[in-house]
Amino acid sequence: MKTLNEKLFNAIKNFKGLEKIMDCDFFIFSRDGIIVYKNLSDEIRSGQELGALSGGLCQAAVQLATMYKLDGAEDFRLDFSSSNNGLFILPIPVKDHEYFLINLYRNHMNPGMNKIVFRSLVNHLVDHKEIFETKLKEEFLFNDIKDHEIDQLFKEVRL
Amino acid sequence: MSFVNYISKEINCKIVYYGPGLGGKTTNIQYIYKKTSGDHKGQVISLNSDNERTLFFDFLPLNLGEIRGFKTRFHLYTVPGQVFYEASRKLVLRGVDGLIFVADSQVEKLEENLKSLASLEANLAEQGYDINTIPLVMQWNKRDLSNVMSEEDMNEKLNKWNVPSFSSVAISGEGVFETLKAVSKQVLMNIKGGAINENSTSP
Repeated sequence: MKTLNEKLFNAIKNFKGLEKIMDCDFFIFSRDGIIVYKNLSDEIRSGQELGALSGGLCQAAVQLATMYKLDGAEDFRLDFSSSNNGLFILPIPVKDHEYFLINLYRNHMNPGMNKIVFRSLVNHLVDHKEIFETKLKEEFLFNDIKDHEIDQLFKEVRL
Repeated sequence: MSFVNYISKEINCKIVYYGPGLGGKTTNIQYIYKKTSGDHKGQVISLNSDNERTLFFDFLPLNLGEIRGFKTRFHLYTVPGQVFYEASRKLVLRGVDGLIFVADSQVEKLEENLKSLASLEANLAEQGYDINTIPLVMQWNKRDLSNVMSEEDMNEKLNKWNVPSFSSVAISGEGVFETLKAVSKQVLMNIKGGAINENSTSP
């Protein structure tokens, strides 16, 4: 049984424009801000903060557009950039628009070309939308957690 | 919504601190950040105004230890407390797994506490949550001040669900971790139907 991350890795590996994007910084995240796939250079902070900010940004943008009564806001792209630096967010229109792709770039000669390639990647992922299908478990994961287990959980992190 | 990866044995959960403006939500997060060892926390992200009032949210990722073989990550968020940020509060509440309601114990803040609680109840209902069943704890903050309501009165006026409540002085840290641990236990015991196998690890 493959994880979503593994399924995305395989799907992206089979993407025809792969060589054009593997030097790019991008990741795929859920609307809740969980990063589910990432291709980021080492110098970038690869923590959960990126996901949280990206998720918040997308949710706020969709909400703003919806309040302004713009139809189809959930399919909008989000572009925050100068001529050669910036970030670009694309919705992945699967599973009730749960997922997004973000490309971050710096000193890029032709960001427009990147956008075309990433749009193509999103289309490729939509063609394999079964990747995003998840099974839900109905039973509780834990029964009867004891207080000492919670204490132990936090004991390891507190100064 | 909690994310469970059964293969890598990881859990991701979202906890939101809710409450009226200047009640101590951000102070809670800041204290937790200060008292958590470096390996187990990310950076605090604060989207706030010039006078440090929360504008959109604060965020702190906590990588806790293992519980029954599962690595546990909590994503802590606060909402803006000021009345006119209702739209932002709704966004931050999406996907919530557990809630901490931070009430300001001062007598003159009762009305604001009640309004904030009513807003929480309405926003949860709008998103399909039931406040009677979602993991929830109450925190009666600012207990160090002189003009505070008794804890009995706080419970009577604000805790109609009889969920666990904790007194706190967030600025000194008193009650902060106790509150977080209580909601964490509820959240972990409530995990079911989470999406399987969605988590972030580089291949």
